[in-house]
Amino acid sequence: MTTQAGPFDPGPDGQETHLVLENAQGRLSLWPAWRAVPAGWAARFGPAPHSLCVGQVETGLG
Amino acid sequence: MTITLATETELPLTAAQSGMWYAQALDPLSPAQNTAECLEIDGPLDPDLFATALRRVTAEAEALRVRVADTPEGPRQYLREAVELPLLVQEMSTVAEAEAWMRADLAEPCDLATGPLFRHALFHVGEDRWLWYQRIHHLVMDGFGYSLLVRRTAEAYTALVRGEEPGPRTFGRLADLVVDDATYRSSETFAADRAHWSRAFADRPEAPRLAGRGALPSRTFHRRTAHVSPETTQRLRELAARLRATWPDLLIAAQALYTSRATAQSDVVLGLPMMGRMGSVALRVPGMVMNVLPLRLTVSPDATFAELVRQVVLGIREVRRHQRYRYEDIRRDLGLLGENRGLVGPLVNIMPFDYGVDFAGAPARARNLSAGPVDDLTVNIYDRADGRGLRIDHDGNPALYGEGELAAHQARFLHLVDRLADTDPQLPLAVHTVATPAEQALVLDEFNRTDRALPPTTLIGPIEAQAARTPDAVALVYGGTSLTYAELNARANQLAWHLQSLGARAGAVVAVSVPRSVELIVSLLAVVKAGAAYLPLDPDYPPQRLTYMLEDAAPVCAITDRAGRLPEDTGTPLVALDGLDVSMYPPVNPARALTPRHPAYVIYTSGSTGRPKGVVVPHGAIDNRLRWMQHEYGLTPGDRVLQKTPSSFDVSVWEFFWPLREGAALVLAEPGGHKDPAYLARLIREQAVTTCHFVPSMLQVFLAEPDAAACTDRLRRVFCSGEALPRETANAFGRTLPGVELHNLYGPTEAAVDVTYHACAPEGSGPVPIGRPVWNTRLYVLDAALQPCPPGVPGELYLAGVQLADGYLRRAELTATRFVADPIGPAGSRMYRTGDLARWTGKGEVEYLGRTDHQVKLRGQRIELGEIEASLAAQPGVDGACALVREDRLVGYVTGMADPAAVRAALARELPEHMVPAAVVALDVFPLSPSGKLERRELPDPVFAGGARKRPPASPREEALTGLFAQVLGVEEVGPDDAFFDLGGTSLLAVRLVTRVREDFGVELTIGSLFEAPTPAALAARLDAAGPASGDALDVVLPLRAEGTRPPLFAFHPAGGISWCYAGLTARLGPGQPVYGIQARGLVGDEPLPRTLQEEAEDYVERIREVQPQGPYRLLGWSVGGVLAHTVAVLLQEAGEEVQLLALLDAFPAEQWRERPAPEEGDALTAVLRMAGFERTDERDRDDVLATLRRAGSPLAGLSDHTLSRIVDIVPNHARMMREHRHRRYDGDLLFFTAAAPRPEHWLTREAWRPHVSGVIVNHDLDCTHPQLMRARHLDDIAAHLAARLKEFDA
Repeated sequence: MTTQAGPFDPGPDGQETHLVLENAQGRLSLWPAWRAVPAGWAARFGPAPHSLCVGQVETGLG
Repeated sequence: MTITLATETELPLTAAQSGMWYAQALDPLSPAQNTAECLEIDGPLDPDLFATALRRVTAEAEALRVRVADTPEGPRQYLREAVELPLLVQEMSTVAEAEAWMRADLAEPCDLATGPLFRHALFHVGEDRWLWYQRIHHLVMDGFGYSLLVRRTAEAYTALVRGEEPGPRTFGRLADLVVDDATYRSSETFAADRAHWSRAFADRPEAPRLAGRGALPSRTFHRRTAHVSPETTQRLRELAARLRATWPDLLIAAQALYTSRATAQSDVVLGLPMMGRMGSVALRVPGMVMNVLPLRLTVSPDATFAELVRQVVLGIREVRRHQRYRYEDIRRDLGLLGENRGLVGPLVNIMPFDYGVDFAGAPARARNLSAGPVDDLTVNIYDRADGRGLRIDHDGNPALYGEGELAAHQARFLHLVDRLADTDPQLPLAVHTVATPAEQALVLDEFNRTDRALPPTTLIGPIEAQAARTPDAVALVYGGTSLTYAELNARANQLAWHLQSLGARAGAVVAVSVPRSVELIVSLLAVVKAGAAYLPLDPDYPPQRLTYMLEDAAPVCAITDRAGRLPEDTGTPLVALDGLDVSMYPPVNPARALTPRHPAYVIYTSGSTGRPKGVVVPHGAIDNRLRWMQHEYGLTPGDRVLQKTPSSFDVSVWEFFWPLREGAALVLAEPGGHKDPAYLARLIREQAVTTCHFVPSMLQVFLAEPDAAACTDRLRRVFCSGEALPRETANAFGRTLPGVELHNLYGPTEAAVDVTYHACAPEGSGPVPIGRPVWNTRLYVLDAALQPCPPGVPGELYLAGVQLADGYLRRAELTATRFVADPIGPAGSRMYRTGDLARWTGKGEVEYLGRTDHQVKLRGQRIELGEIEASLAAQPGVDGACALVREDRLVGYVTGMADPAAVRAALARELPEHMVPAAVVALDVFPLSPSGKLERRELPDPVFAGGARKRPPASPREEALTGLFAQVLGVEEVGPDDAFFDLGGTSLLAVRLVTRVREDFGVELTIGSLFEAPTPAALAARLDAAGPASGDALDVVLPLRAEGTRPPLFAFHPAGGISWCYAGLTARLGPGQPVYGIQARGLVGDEPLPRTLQEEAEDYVERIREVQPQGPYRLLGWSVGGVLAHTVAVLLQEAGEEVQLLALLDAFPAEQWRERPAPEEGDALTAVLRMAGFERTDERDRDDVLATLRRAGSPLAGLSDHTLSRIVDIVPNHARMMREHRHRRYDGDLLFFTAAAPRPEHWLTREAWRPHVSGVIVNHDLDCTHPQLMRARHLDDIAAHLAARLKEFDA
């Protein structure tokens, strides 16, 4: 088994690897910063470290 | 035999040659080490002069004149003064004819010991057109050597044509090569190189294999040739210049990118053939010097192509510095040779030089025909100055790549190279996909064409419509009960109104904790009818987990069958069906404001962080799933669907609701029945079930059940899901149940049960696919850059479409990381990340390959190892924890001071049964890799072994059974007294064992029997006793061993009323000594319990006389059983019979107890737990106790609820009777065994027997507590003393 980090896994410490996206229904999605934002979604937070993005979702985006 | 001719010079082999020699020695008849080249010469050629030139070159190139033979000192090469030139000159009418000849020649193995190791042919294939073929064994020549030979040949020929003497010989000598090699190998550079490679690969990375596996080299290889267009070649050169690199660097980077994506590995090691001659004397020697060296690259989607190229440039620079160190030596240093493991994936063989030669003005163009053995895949890239761009040969090992696969790899590589040449190198690599445009269209669109317009209905609407259409049809069958659609609908409606009065409505959650029964179906329907989502809570789950789920989901109320089923302190209002009157409510469908977007159910699954998570599935999702299922499989009113899946497992959703939507009948299995294959086979037959579901591992067990084959009458279709379906199981199904359809379904709870389907052919081969997508569902297999994988390439499976769940209840962060933006589907849509590894087949089906994370499936149940690890780590005394699955069993590893047995027992109280490790292993430290990561591979196998002291089997049957136990459990050795469940036995393994016992001994045996007699000894005793079936094991007289000529030993039950505890003793007393257990009445039926001990003993005397009408009698009893044995002995003596032996095991007479308070039910529970070897902690009532026993896999848990419940009555009854009993005097000696460890009841003393015994009390102290007396090592002692005594009587 390879233990490489997947697109939604935390990156190296402190690196701003992810975004938080939101769609028209108000659904949120974590998203890797290196991949183009899919149509119908907009970046609401980030790029920021994985844990910060997760924390943003947990507390709810303003 | 080796003969050295006088004209030969003996030389050792260089290290490079040795490698080749050993490779050839592995398969002496393999032609794989033949290398060959063909030069097309355009112009006039003089064959005689050409032959003269070749003779001269052969004379100059020593390597061509050697033969190689093995000697006691190892292989040696023998250099001859001269060899006859092996040259064929021939007219050929076509090039194709000549090429056919070359292919045939290449396929001829070379005899190393005789030589010559080379051959030439010159074909005249047309006006001024010649083909020069030369074939040389790789042991003596490499690619650079070829270039030296060709140049020198051209030079010599040209001189000869001009009538000049060719220039003096320029080649170095073979001996120089040998000396140079030896010098290097004893140098400091060698040591430094070795250190470099050992350091660089200390973690022994996995070689990336495009085929997904490795293979031994074949004798031949497939080759596919293509060209990079001149335009692209030009753009590559320009791009290389901009990146301060060379075009080979770019192609290596491209291959690394391709390999990374195609193997789902970010750590990529490519093999680079290096000429190995930098600055050495070897530059002038045609010979074998080349080496293959590993180039290690990290390919991540966020890096740019420019960065990857930079890595390649620096990496190659590093490799060059250490390029003389041999590949085989690196492998040996890393310990890979022994494991037959490679270090590198594909080879990229760049040949950036052109010969640029002519033969007296006739230009020549070289073409490689074979570059040597192909272990896996070699990409040969030639830059020939002929204006046709780069030539690329993909050589593949035929054992790994078919022609088609090779072509696909090549087409994608060329497409990728094309894109890379055209794309801004500063963009992240994530913009690139390795699939060709045609492949993308296939996997994204073609395979996912599932659009289907459906009406916006809910889970329940169609059921109510069906009830109105066929009110009198049978809807539900459970045991002897059946309900019509009208009846079921009416009952569910009345409960639904009641639930609405308690707040159930669309968007709310109602928990349901009811064992499988009519009431369960009524409850589920009622919840959904009320508009709410149902939350199934398995009644067998530990209270702690139920509390968590109730608090987490905050349902408006929870339905239970009776009070006490659920924890009462969670604030959730409880609705106990037992005694609930809903007759005041109307039997009509309640009104509700329900839409397809509202949640239909919430099912909890294991959570990696230690907390289970509730998956919220909307009506639209499950309605789509059920409508698709009806379309695909067409259930009719004549169908009968088996409901046996626990409601907490989402497969149950279609079992519950699909038949009721279609007018079919739902047949309910008994609670617990889903684990008993014999019961299921009977139920399927008796109830004419047409449709049912099995988890594959259970299907395997079911097919082994002798009665399964008889199910073909009415059974039409079986669905499998929950875990990978092995092909052998699918084929076994076809053989056992011919004519019955087998469908493999796949899906996570997060996408409404199933999203793919595949119909299994009766005699298929290869992995069983999980299949193609259901209606309105898209499957994506994506690589690490979230780009689509072409067919055959593994990636992570993502799901999109209407069946996606809303997300996780109150877990926004988890929802946002698993349900993510879909970069491929409609704008704003989501996709669910399954964590499953999968690949497309070329036909549009998906194959499941495993997991990307630490989630495992055990018997269809999802388990996050993280959750187990969190539970382990939370136990007192545990410092570190890790969990994994070994051979289908969950194993926990802990460090710290905790007792592993106690840790396991604690987990049994907290987690559902399937999540409790079969073993917990204590370690001093966890094994770590050089990089400090946990090395799961290095964790020791759990030792599922019993007591350290094993006795040999006492009978052939015991011997056979210990063997069967070992086989089924997968352990090396099992002692006769090792208990099945202590050795890691699971209920599934139990089924397998029982099946094997049935086959091998021809004895009918139920799973219950194994719970009752869990050791080989006990099972043997049971089989010896003519195998009483499970029910008989609870009769008053239990024949533990019936045969034997000696007077039997009667062993009286302890307080719980069951005497299986004597099975171990029976085994130890050996064959010839019959043993009968005496057990309490009322364990099975509803007989009243005895009022006095005297009455009970009188009953036993009658039963004993039925077995043995006359004395002498031998009696024994443990605990209460001792008091009973004494009373029976007195009664027998009073009737004039002889009592030979009265043996009491730590039993104390009535007056010792009389003044002590009698235990209440609570203490009885403690007693029951003790019988199973547990100390009581937070079990509050009977159900808690039963749940603990079941979770812990206790043999007692195999008993029916009724029996367990009776035991709880029998224990206090005995306590009462004991206190009231008046002993009479026994005439004879007492054999006594004392559990001598200190006990709380310190007042107990065997001396109290004095007034009740006329003879002496012969005592043996055993160093144990009262409950431990029945453990193996103490039984050994007891049996030894008993046997000695019995022997005296027999004499």
